[in-house]
Amino acid sequence: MARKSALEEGILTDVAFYILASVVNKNHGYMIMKDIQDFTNNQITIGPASLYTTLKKLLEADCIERHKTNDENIKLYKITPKGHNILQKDIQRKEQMIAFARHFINEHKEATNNEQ
Amino acid sequence: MNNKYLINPGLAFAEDSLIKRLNTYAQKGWLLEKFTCGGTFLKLVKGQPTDAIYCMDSQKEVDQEYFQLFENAGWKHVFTGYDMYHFFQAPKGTATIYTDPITAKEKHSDIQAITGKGAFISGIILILAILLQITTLNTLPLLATIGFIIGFISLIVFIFCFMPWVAYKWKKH
Repeated sequence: MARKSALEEGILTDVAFYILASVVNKNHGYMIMKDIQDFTNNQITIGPASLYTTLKKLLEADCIERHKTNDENIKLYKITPKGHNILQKDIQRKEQMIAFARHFINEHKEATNNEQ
Repeated sequence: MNNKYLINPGLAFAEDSLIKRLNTYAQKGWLLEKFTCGGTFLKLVKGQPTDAIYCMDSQKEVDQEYFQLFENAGWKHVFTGYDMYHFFQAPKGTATIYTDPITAKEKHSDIQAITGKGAFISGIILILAILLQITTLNTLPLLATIGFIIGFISLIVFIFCFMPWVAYKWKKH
């Protein structure tokens, strides 16, 4: 399936990226939602259905794992070594993309400054 | 008259318009309760008018965490039909349950797989039944009749599987 192999190649959707990062330390569903909302100043909200299906996919791809808690209703998630690897790869990939775009934007800025 | 019954338009085809209708009914005080007659109808009960909105998610094999996540986001569980159509209600203005296009599209892939398989299997049975009828029509009329009955049943199953499958395929584009 195309989705899984994209994950395997280390390409994460925005939602998967945010969720994976929020479970570097053990975290659970509601707090994952809140963490992302708080950090991005409510710019990024993840709907419950998107959250649930993405958690399922990440579990199936062995990028995160479940941990038991005392409360049966709360399921804790934590990133796996494999998930950590994929997250790192995707951070590098995204950093490269940003550096690339910034390079040309700065070039353009300099060019327009020189013309003035 | 405390109950109202809506015909289920088929969740593959008409989910959005159904939700709109449910919201309008809720504003008039008719609140969604559950499926009846195996999902042929949706039962509405008389209650307080509200501008709360509904949504539906199709998801197999959900657990308590699923409903907890929805409740945290403001969506109260109304009922679940066929173990996979989950109806929720939330105050007007609550954020949608799918916030990115990718997972939203995948919502249908489960049902698409089921209806696709169903259409395929019933289609094959239908063809075999027709062949059976053709070959035994003159020689073994009893078998031909059995073939006819099987064929008829599989035709109905086929239609019920094939049409949603096409609708979901078409929706993907």
